[in-house]
Amino acid sequence: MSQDLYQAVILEELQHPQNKRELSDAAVSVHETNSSCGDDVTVFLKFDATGERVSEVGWQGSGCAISQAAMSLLSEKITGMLVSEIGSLGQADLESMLGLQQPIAYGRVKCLLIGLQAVKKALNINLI
Amino acid sequence: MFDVAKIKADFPILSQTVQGKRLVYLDNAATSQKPRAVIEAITHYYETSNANVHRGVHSLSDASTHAWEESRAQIAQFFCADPAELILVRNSTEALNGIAYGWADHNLTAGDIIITSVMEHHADIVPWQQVVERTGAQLAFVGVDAAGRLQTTELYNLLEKHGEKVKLIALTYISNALGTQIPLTEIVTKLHALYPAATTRPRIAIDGAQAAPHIPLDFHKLDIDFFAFSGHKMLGPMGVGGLIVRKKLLETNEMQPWLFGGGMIAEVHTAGTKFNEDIAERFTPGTPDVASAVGLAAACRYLQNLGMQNVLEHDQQLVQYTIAQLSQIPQVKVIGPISPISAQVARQQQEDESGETPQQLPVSDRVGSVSFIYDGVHAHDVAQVLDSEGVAVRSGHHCTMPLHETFGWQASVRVSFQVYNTTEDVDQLILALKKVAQVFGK
Ligand SMILES: Cc1ncc(COP(=O)(O)O)c(C=O)c1O
Repeated sequence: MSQDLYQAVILEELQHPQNKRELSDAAVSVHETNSSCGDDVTVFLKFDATGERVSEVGWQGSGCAISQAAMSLLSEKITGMLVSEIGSLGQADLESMLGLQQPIAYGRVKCLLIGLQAVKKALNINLI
Repeated sequence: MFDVAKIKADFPILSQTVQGKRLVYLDNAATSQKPRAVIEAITHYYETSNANVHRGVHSLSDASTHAWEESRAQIAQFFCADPAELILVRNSTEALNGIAYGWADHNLTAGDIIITSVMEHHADIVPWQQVVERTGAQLAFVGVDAAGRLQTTELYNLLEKHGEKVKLIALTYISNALGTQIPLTEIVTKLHALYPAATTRPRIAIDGAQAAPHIPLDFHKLDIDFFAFSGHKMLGPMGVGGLIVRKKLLETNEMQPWLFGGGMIAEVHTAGTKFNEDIAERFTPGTPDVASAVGLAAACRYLQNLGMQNVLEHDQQLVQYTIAQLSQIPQVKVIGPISPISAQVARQQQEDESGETPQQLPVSDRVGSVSFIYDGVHAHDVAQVLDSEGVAVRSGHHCTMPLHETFGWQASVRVSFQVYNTTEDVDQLILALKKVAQVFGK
């Protein structure tokens, strides 16, 4: 798996992370950490007038290449998406976004998912 | 003699390839691999002697009981302890919890103090935090200096300040994150000076998880109260480890059983129970893992045949070689004590002066592992690239979050050794590290 884990996609995201900025007027923000490796991300979300669609995403964070690249790609992917659609995103979606041919190693699952977890937490908060 | 090629051939798992490359296993502080002698001892037990112990009068039960008692004796002897002082448990974590439930809960009250350090594995912190919640005692942490050495003066100041209120000192002999070996003999001597009366002297519990695999140990000479270890880190199987307890604490019931049921009793009546007089049995509730004990005894024999002094010297060569090699990579910062380098220099000087190789390698206060931070690349990413070159190392906080927080490290990479590792293994690691620079352009 690791042979080709660090593909062009991941390295590109690392060098040019998308939407990596704080949104001071965000409707909601959530900070998530992965204690096994010290990864951390904070996600900022804004919604359209209906409140059902994510209109803008920002994030800040530091950590391993997988966590940061996945967050970067995810931020772009969910911009403009319906909250209900985001709810159904999972590990396999992130793996394919990163261009992985095989499922990621157990030890890296948390790194892969940390951004999505932060987003989902943020949405739950918003939905309540 | 210490013939690493021959030793390596004893470990079936090491002959495999990973990602098409020769497997270089350098994650031994997490768990070691097992020699054929251990694997076969376990199989042999199940094929010839399996039955419950101490319960039956039939021949198989007798054979199994023999295997159990002989294994316990062998394991105890490895640590120069009395078999009655050895409580077999699952691992170091369970051993340390055993001290908490079996000793601390009965001997600590509000206002008492437990001292530990920021360098401890979580297994030597969380049980004490729980004791604090149950008893109202307090937990004090001793720090480490910039090189990752225990601040012993801080420890001694705490002892002087709090005197008899300090009831327990819980420290790791060798840090699993930095390889630091603490000056245990000096600490015990100081304890005797500060507390001349044994009755008021704080008990000292040593987390020996990383010491047992690498250094010669003599429980009685160490003059400590508790010693915890894991079999799986010292070539034995997973699922068995030990807590060695000073006999006096067992005889006086200062240390009490913390698990109850069959085996550990003398008599059970509806009105109440009398525990087993036999100390070892009192601490063996239920059916023990005999096969794992047999496997661990085989591991002890294997290590004893190599000689623990030789094992330590082999480790020191690898530690010093690794630090020297890593120090040449500009992006790499070795963390923890680097005195092994000065030990190596000392040896070189001795050699230059006398023209001969000194008999014994100077032993440093860094044992078993070398950890580092790679500038600009997360430890997990380093480890993942190393894996693609067949090199297995550990990345993360190694269950030492307080230590990582103290230094502000997000995570680190740890290279840890066993008897089968060679300088060629380290060379493959160093070569693989070059790939990190290629992949990440750093
Ligand atoms: C210093 C130290 N203490 C305790 C432990 C816990 O050992 P186990 O997981 O076998 O209970 C470890 C293992 O990682 C260790 O290195």
